[in-house]
Amino acid sequence: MKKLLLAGFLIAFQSLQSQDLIQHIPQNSSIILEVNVPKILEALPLTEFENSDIGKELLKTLSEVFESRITSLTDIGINTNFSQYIFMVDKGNNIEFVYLLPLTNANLIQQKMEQNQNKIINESGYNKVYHYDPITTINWNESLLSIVINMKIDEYGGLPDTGNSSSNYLSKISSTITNNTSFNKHKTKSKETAVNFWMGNLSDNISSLIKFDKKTGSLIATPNLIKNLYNDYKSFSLNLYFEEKETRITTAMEFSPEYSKTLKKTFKHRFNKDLFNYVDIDNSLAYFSNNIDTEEALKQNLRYLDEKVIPNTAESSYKEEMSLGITLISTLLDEEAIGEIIKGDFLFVLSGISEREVEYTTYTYDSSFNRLPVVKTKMEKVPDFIAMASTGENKLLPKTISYLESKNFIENQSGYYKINAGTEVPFDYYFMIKNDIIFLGTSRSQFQNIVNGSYVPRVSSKSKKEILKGHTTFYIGIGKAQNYISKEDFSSEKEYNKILDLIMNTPDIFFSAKKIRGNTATSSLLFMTPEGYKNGLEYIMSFIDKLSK
Amino acid sequence: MLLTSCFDVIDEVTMHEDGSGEFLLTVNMSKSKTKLTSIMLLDSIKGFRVPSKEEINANINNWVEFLENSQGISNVKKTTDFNEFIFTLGFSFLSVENINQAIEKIVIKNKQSTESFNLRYEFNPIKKEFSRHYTPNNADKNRYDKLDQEDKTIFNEAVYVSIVRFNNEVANCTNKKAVISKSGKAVMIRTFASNIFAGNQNLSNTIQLK
Repeated sequence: MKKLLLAGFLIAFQSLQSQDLIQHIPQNSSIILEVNVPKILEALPLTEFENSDIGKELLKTLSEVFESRITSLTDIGINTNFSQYIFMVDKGNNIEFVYLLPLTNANLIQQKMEQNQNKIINESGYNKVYHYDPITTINWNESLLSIVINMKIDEYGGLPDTGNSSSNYLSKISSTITNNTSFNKHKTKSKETAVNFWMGNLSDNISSLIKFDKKTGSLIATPNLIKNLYNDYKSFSLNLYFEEKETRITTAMEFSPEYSKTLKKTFKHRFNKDLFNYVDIDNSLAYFSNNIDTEEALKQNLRYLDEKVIPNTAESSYKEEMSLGITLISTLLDEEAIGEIIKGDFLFVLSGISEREVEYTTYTYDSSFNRLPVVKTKMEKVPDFIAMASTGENKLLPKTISYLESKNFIENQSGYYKINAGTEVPFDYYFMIKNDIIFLGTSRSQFQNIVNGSYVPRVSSKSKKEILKGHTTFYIGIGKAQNYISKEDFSSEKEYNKILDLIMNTPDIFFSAKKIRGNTATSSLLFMTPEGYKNGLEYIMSFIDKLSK
Repeated sequence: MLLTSCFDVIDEVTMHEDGSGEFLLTVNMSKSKTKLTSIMLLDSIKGFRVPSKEEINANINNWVEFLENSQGISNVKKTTDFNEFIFTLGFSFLSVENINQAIEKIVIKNKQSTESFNLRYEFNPIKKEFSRHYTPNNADKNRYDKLDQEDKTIFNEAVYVSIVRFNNEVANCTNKKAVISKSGKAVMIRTFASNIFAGNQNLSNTIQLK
């Protein structure tokens, strides 16, 4: 059974156009995963997949499962012209997980079921087989196969009496998920995806999932608590695209209008564009930006704790005290003053790798081989980074700096400070406050140039736009590291070539979490396809092949 | 960083005419201090747990305590320098036999096989002959062979130095790798740690004094 399920799931790599099986998915489905097989095969033709290591392994497994030599995925009878679906239907006392896939012919499935001496029940127009642990029904007709896992838990965590009540999902229905506005919105946007996922009301789903999880027994009693806590989280959707230049994952999280307002206030802060004057993002190995309104974030989070979390989670006898505590914290914290010190925009840039001279102790020996310590120097490669945050505070920070200087924690270097961090940290750190920006970094020359006003920033308009639009963004460009390594850094040429190959075949990664629009927060994660590959999927398959060797 | 690290291990024996002497073991990882400082900030690396400074100190203190309670051994001293990553452990001995006994006890304490009794010192004051008997240990070799290539390179660059000093001049010694100092009163063997683990380096030496 397990092998058959596994085989079924793996086949999802293969199949597609649209005898859209969506017409079989009921309106009360709350989680839907679509594997758009034709789209996947567009990126990676079936024969190429079958010749990859994963493909070969899959064909081998399928041959074992079906006890017949399977040379192509089409041999099994899966229709690769249509999408396959996995979905969850909450029926109140039980939950059904369904795997629905189209067939070109059902002969092999029928044959397999007969071979395994399963009791095949012939219903009108379809056949079915039961398994009891977990309760699973496998249904098929000439053009469709559905595997329905029925999870039912009574209040004592026992198994249900029978699984006979499962639906077969082989027929089109009138009341389908397409009546759900949130799903339709997702579906419209997910046409070009290879895989897409949609979850209806998150709070409902979380409580349903917890309800039947025997292992988390202690939570069974409290689905309402979880439901209330996640009440502001509505639908969630994810799309995966394999495109020529990139593999893209986008997500959309819908919140309640009330919570969206809270988040909008937190994210309404404007990113300080002056931060772009002090960095070279175009040649950087990585960057990370974050932008929130610190003052609003503190206020809103405390309010949210007081109004939402405590009433829903605290023991009723302590609710008043906890609420009082939050009010007290809110009174003591001066959110505005904190928001002045750290306004909320932050930019970290891993600029590159630089060389620095490092002293080390070794020994020479005199004419009697007495050991004499000598200090030598060598060049070491160290990462260079700079981190910046806006500030509007001009009383506390200067005082703090004077104090740190008087206590020798920092050393004035005419315009900037060297942090005396001792040997606890492997690099030298520099620090300064200039033009209402707090700087912390490792490159002395960068600090000197910023102080002298001779620093030349390099930030493309594309990077600027991304950072300004998102509340959190990051970029990792491992490929650029090839400019910073040389054969001398490695113990052998083989080792060097191995690392170089790895670096050059690692995709650049971009992430951006956008500010909320309407009630929805979106994010995107891009993996750029390295040179020499047709598209993202081909790259991933080749990467997995390499890993398995 | 991917740079290879390296370290030096130096053992020094200073022999007096009456057979007593001093022993000093130095582990100098100064050349890799940037890397080690970074590693010390981690909990584990490549599946190996990184010990804290406190744990390293406690371990060294255990050795000190063990040696202080060993027969014929006195004046036990240690130094730990976490800035340069240089550690030393030294002691005085009445006879080289006291070092042999301590090694034996360590082997028994660590429940290692008898094969681990692979280092023995001898000194004959009448014949004026000092010997060090070393047999490569198969267990060490097996452990070394199992390391991946990248980890092996650490030992390829690590240097092991053994020095024996005397009051009298050295007439000759049996190990071809051994070098006699200009003063004629000390002998040094210098090799890469990888040669020792791989069993390629003979560390045994019999030194005849004039």
